Amino acid sequence: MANLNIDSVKARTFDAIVIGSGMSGGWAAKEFTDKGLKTLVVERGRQVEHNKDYPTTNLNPWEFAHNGKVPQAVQEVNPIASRCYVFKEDAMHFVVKDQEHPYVQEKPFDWIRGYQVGGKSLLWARQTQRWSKYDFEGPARDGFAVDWPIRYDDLAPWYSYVEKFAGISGNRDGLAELPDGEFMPAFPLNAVEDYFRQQVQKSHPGRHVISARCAHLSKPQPIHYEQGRVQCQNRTLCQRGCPFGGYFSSNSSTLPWAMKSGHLTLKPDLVVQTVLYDEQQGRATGIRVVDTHTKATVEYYAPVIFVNAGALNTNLLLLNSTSHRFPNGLGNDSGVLGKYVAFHNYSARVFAEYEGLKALTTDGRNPAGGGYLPRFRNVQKQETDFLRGYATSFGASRDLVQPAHGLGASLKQQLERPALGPWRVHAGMMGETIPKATNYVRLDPTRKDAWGMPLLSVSVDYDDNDAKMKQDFFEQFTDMFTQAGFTNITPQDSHQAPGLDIHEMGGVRMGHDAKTSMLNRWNQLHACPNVYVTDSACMTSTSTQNPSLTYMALTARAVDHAVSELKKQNL
Amino acid sequence: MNRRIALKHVALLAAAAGLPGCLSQPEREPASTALSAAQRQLVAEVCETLLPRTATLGAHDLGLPQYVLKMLADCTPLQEQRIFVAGLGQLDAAAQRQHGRSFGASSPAQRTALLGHIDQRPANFPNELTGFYRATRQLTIDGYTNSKYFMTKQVVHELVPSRYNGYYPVSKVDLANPRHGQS
Repeated sequence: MANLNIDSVKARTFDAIVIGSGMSGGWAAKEFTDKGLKTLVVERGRQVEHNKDYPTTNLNPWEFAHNGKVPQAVQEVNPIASRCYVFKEDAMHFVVKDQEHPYVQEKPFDWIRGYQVGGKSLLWARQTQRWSKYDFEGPARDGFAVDWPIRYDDLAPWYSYVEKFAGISGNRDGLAELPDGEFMPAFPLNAVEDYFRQQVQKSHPGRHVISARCAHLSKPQPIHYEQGRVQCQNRTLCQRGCPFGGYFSSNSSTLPWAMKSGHLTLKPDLVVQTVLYDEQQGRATGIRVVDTHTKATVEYYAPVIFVNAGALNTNLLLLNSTSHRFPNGLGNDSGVLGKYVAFHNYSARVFAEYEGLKALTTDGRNPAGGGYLPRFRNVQKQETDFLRGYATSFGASRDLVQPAHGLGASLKQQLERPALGPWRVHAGMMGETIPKATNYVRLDPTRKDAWGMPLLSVSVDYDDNDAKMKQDFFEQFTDMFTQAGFTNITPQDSHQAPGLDIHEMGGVRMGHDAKTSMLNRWNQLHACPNVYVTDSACMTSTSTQNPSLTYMALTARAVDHAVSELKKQNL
Repeated sequence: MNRRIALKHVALLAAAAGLPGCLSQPEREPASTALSAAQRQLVAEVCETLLPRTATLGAHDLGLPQYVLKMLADCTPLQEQRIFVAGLGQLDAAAQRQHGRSFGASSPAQRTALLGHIDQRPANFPNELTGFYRATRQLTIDGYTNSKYFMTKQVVHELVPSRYNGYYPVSKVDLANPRHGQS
């Protein structure tokens, strides 16, 4: 019996444990296994294998039961998920249903989740812009949150490292506020996007309209073929999972790569309840998980643990990982765990039409989505009555017009020979929000989910800075659109709750000082250095860029550090 | 002949044309499932009037009435279902007033004329009837433009376009045979 038990412990002991298999967990898995470490990845959701588990990927429109729409009965019981743009008939199986995973909203917060192997990396919008020095310097310069313990130069080589493997398309635009990376050719701006670029150059010098940089293989390199991925085929059906591996996801890239190494053990359907802390050793020793089907609990052990459960779930897990040493959650001596949660303000758009360039249209589809304007407010110095600023997505398209009236043979003819509509343009705000102690998550004191985890209680809201910034966005884009000769300019405030941006960050922030932050400059818990947090929970501030690329770079950098520390026996 | 059209655009059109999104409903009572055989027949006649068989297949040939009823039951908010059913019930009375006979007993030309009036002069008709007409028209169009027949024979859907040109001359677009993305 004794030997059996020892064998069992041995079988449950790894060189590294990674909690979560999404964007950053996939990278941790790849990096650890590349370095030869026997790595366990636990994922709370079900297995989703590349291609094999993309049931809708090759369906034609007429093969869907409801023309792509979500039935009323499904919408009614999933009001939160239904607000997400990706919750449609072709991809709703990758989005968490409201009732299966309840949480508490102290204030309205649309928590959009993807509980499966690959997480939300299957569903992301694939926009990949680097942060700049201005972004890392932001909190210190403007006096909010705490100073980032790293700068752009610390992360730049790791951006390059992950970009080469993931495959990023973009132009070398030479902008200090949006550094260039390791790019494959960009997807080009179309005629009206390009026209707007030229107009803005004239009307608002210093503002730039560039091709959105995105994780699509426009010109695959040997490293991508080696992953089994080929050129993006412009389907723009990415959310179903891509049979070409044309865009980056954990499922198509990092996880199969790690699996091929022979060092990866991937265990889906396991919810981590707690990170185990050994009071004598003064370090984390492993994790306790519960099987989502059998409800049986098991422990796994490793000298280093990466928490990549996704921002709010990483907070939940650490808050729930209590011990004599850490009664308020693992590493939470400072009391900041769960606080300073922030997000991106996506609640503002401006629509318009353009009467010009009618001789041109587009052919095919652009997976990058169109144009991108890096932040132009308060970049070099404070200029406005609000802090920070916003990046903006910009796109133009012409649609086929469906006749609004008429019937019979003439209607059929019009449908069979559709007319081209006008150019329509839209700008979407991506605003930086300021992390505050009053935007927090905590454990519900009494209620638990089906796996024994306390429900997460979320209290996150907009503030005056967000309102002023949004007003500025409306004014600036109304002005820029007017000067470009666009018509029917229509600002639209979606009044959406935080969360629907799906860019929630923070709660386990990085910082210099253990008294005011949770993680050091290597993403280690100050108070428990063999636990690393490299997902969105680690973010000290949010900047404006779509954040996944930064999580990838932070993760690769942290694994490199962890392995080096393991070798030095420092963990 | 290489005739293709974008899934994207069809999807966009369908979305743009779609009935308003859901609000949570206190009860579920899909009104359309309670339709009698006669009511279903009436819906089918309206569908065929909207998109009749011509040189190309029509609503009946493509099973569009069944599509309309399915989308009504599954994807339409209850309040709009009620309007649909109420408006359907007003159709025969409107036909009686216009042509002295029920919709079903009207000639194809009379049916087209009546629906044309509702289409062009909605203020002359009860709100429920115009609501029924608009919903049926849109769902029938969605069903048609989303059908395998339309997407393979009329304007051919491209699952894998493998290209993007942001400066495509409209002069090269054959609107009778649109290809994907030329919009």
